[in-house]
Formats: sequence, C-alpha cells, structure tokens
Amino acid sequence: MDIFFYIGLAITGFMAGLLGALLGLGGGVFVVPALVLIFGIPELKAIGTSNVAVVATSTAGASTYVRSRLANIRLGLVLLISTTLAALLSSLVASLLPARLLSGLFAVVLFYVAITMLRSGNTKDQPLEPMEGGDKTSKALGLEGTYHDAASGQTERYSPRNVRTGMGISALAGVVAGLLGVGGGIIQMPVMNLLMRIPLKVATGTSNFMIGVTATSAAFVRYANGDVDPLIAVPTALFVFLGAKVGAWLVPRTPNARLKQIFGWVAIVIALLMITRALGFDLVPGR
Amino acid sequence: MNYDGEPVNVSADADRATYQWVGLILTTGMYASFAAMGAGLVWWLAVGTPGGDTLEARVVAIDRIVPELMALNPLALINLGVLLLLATPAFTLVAEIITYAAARNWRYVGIASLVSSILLLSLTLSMKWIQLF
Repeated sequence: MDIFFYIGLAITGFMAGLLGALLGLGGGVFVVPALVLIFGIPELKAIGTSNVAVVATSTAGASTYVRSRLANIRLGLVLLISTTLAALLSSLVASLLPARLLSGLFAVVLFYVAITMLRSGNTKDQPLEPMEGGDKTSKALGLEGTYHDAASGQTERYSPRNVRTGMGISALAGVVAGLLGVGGGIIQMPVMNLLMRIPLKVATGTSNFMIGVTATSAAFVRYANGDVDPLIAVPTALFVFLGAKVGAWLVPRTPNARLKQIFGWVAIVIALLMITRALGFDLVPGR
Repeated sequence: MNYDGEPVNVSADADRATYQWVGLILTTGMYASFAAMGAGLVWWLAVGTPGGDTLEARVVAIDRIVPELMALNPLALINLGVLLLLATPAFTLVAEIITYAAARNWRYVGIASLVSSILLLSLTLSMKWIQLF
C-alpha cells in the first residue's frame, strides 16, 4: 500500500462524512461502495471499516446530543434491545454470505436511500402535530419527554406511540448495520419520527446515541473475523469524522432540497455500479 | 447540526446523573480514541511503516496490545485506539447500569443490563472465547 492509497482513503472518508452530514445520513452509505468500487477492497473488509467509521461519527454526534438532552436515553435503551441483537446476529450471518450478494443487498439499500432523498427533495418538510397521549407501554416505561423548539419558541411535549411495533421494526436497522456496515439511521429515523411520532430533533439525537451501540455490536464480530484492517479503518474513520464536522457546519449554508435531488441520482448510479459488481463485473481488481 | 434551544426532557431531568456520565464518557472516549489512533498513525509513518505488509501483522489481538506497546510497536497504539473507540458505547452502558441502580430505577437497570449482555456476547465472540461458526 502506497502513500497515494492513503491519500485516496483520506479523500474518500472526508467526502463520505461530508455528504453523509449534508444529507442527514451516516457516512457508511458512501464509504462501503467507495472502498469496494474505487479501491477494490473486499466487501466484508469495507463493511468492517465502515462499522468503525460509523462508531466514530455517532460517538462524536451522540456526545453533543446527550449533553444537550436531545437524546432520549430511556427510549434509546428500549429500542437497542432489538437492534443490538439483530446487528450481532446479522454480522455473524454476513460472514457466511457470498460477497457479491452483499453488493446486491447494498444496492437495494442505496435505491431505498435514493428514493427517500428524491422524495424529500421534492416536498417541503411537514411538521408533525404536537404529540401527547402515548401508548400504555410508553407510559409504563416512562418514555415521555419535552423539548424546546427554538424555531417556534415553544416547549413541546411528546409521548412515543407504537413502542412495541417500533421495537420490532428497529431490528431492521440492526440487520442493515450488521450485514452492510451502515449506521441504520435511514431506517431508525422514519420509525421514530413517523411511526412512533417522536419529534425530529429528539429522533435525530436518540438515533445518534443508538447507532454507536448498534455498530459496536457488529464491529466486534468484524474485528474478530479480521475484517477490520486498522490501517484502512483508522484513516477512513478519522477523515469521515472530519468530513462530518465540515458537513455539519455547511448544512445551514446549503440548499438542502436541491442537494438531496442531486445525490438521489448519484445514489442510483452507485447502486447500479454495485449491481454490476454483484453480477460479476469488477471495475477495479480486488486487493 | 443545530443544537440550539434549551431542551428540558422530562426523563432527562429524572435521569440527570445518567446524562452527565454518559455525556462525559462519550466525549472522553472520543478524544482518547482519536488521540491514540492519530498518534499511532503518525508514529507508524514516522518510523518507516514497519509490519504493515500483512493483515496478520496489522491486527494486534486484544490480549497482545499491552506487550506490543511495551515493545514500542506503533501498530499496537493504532489498534488500542480502535478498541477504545469500540469500547466507548459499551462503557456508556455500564454508566447507565450504575446510575440507574443508584436512582433505584430497577427497570432500566434490567434493560441496560440486557443490552450490555448482548454487547458482551459480541465481545466474547471477538475474543474467540466461544465459536459459533
């Protein structure tokens, strides 16, 4: 491995973190295809690297959200029961799957991300109605909370609904994290915001808090299987983190809807490239 | 990211100690792991990238990290950084168990213990103490 390889990793990590932050996603969605398609790194090693990068960015994000009380730790713990178990089991299963199948599955996730971005780029965000009167499970577990919405100047109260269903569907986020090395926020966020009726800011904070624990559950297994190459994972993780920091700074200065439109189409192109790899056509020789 | 506003989460008020400790551990873990990874990488590059040719040499097993650090192997510091990073979310779970126990909130002691036990199983697999496949 030469110096150009490491410079390439640094640029890839930085861009993945930057785009992830700008589009409200974890960097993993871009790290895995870049490592596979540009650097020819095998799928499982790319996923292990992404797992480490995801823990790095979510740890940094969660520390801020927890300190500002925008993460609901109780809710996060309840949902983590199913996500960590699913992440652990799916990371074990990932080792048994053909690499090309993993590329195909990743293409499916990218198509989902693309559709989500293209749809959200077309429509204005509709704020949900204030939510009170959560379900029995929510009350029994003491999951209710309030938060101050700086935009409206109001203190909003919320009480999560459909907690049991939310726990079930959250397991999917764990499967995606364990199998493909992405954070799982792309599933966790809609589950919390749309199904459980949790305000977007609290859902974002809680999702960040959860992603680190979920990815760790999978990352230990990848590390044990020799799929975390420290000399690939460390520069990538450090520059994903730096890119995410710059991206977070750029968010309020960037036309978000237009960006989502553009990268919705970019995600479709990447998904098509991953499908060609899944079908056996490699653009670069494997390492 | 927009963190402005002065949120007053109801459960957060009840769990003040939990939030303080989890926030502290996340921040400390982040800086400590990034420092170890960054310093290890610079050290490894500065001494001419020794042992970087094979994956076996690059991955230092958990139980070999301290002896390899004593032997001044920069790859051990890089691996220590990765493990510190991966251990940080696990440490937050330990803090949650302790702070909820101190508040006598046994339900959340149980839930945090359950999540911790899943992570412990993952760590156990990574140490190859048990082998499923």
